[in-house]
Amino acid sequence: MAYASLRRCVWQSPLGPLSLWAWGDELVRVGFPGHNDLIEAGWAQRYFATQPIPAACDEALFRAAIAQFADYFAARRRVFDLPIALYGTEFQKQVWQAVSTVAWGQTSTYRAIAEQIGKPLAVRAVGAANGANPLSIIVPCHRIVGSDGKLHGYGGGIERKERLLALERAA
Amino acid sequence: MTQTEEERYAAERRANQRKVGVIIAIVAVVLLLFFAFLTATTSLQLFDFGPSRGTISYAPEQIVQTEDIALATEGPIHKSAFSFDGQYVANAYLSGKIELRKLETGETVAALDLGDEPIQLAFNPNSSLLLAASEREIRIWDVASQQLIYAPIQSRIAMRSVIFSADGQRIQTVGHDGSVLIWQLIDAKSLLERDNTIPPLEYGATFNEHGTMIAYYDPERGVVVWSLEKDKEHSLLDGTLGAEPIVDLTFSHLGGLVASIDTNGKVYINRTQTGELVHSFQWQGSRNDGEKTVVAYSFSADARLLALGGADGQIELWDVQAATLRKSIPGNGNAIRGFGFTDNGDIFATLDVAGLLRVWEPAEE
Repeated sequence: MAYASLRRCVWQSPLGPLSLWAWGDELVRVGFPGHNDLIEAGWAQRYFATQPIPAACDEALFRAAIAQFADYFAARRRVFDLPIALYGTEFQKQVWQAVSTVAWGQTSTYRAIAEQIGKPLAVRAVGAANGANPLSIIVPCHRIVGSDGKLHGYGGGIERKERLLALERAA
Repeated sequence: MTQTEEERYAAERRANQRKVGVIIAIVAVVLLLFFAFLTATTSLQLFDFGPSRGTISYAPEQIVQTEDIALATEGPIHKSAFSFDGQYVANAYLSGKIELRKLETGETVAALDLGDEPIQLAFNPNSSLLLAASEREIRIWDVASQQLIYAPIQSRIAMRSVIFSADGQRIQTVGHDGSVLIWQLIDAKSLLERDNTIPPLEYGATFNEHGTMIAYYDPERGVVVWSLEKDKEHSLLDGTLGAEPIVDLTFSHLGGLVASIDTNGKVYINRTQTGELVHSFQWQGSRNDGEKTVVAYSFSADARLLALGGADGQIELWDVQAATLRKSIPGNGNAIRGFGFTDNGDIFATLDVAGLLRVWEPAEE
């Protein structure tokens, strides 16, 4: 684990710049820069006591991730197979695990996720945890919508949520 | 007859003397008990374990790295502590899992569990006990047997700082509401509780090693040193109400100095007694945008040096008296999580967030 510096490379995805963060040989964060910079800084401080070092995207882990994201955006890949680590509270991890069970092209609701983790009254907390998902797309938080069918928020912006859902529906 | 009267007189005099003696003895015993009570009461309120500390006998420029061990870890290290005898290092994860390791080899000798996010990890002054505290609970292990000793202490108030007594029998805590509690470890009960001794804490607070003072940051006034002995403000530290908030505070081991560190890594050194600003100096390494720049800090045993560790892993050893940077060790991108200065002043150790343990010693002549 030593020399595991928090590294960040930025790849130009079809939805704009996508930042990939690595710690050691695991992917720990994926997100769209500019939307949650303060949240990202606070998250990095909490778990790693530092901010990421800008890195080139040519190391093996980033290359593998970029290849899989490229396949995802081309609708050739529905499930990611990457070494990842989730850094969050126990509750958040529970939520993210439940969200990860929502398959490509499907959607679920905050209420359904709350029920799935055995905390049916924690709908708002589930919404907050979903919004704090550090691994955008890999943990498909974009597939969680309101019980009223509205998209509600997305860390990368509501337009991107629409486009991701449209991509998955079209395929 | 005369002789008998004399004898009687003498006997009465002896009896009277005995009575006076008894009265004096009773008064003495009462006074003794009174003073003993006062002493006991005082000892309930304050710790005074006067840790013995060594002196740094070498020039910091001449230290060399003697160990460089990549610890096997299960994720980023959240807290660390070094024993003052140079034997052990303990590291804790955000989950509350703790590993007690041999400093020399990094070998894990015990896996412990706090069960919650740790806010503090500390050895007692003679390095026989290891304390881990979350906001709500404190657990203490015996270092030799690695067994949990005493019942866990559970606090209804979120704790901000904890300090050990030297004998390992008591601890003192300060809560986020400014209340100070002294706990007896043997039955996990609080011996003394002072509600809102200091104002509610927006930022951190720290005890001196004797447990007699608390330093805390008041965003409208600067750093305040509060005397728990007198239960009143002891000093206001000059210059500490700067542009950036003070996010970390530490007393020197004998309590004569306070180092206050702001978000950007500016360090203020003040005299505890008068509040006078001795020096201020600026961290030379890179800044950590909008977050804490200096993430680890420790005075050397003799308070001659202040070690600072950056979010980028850089280490700086500052001469406190001269306000000069004596040694700068470049970082590798991983934040420093803790420093260890041994009591005899011979070893200086660091642990970073990725589990890189480095030990430094004076270069051979």
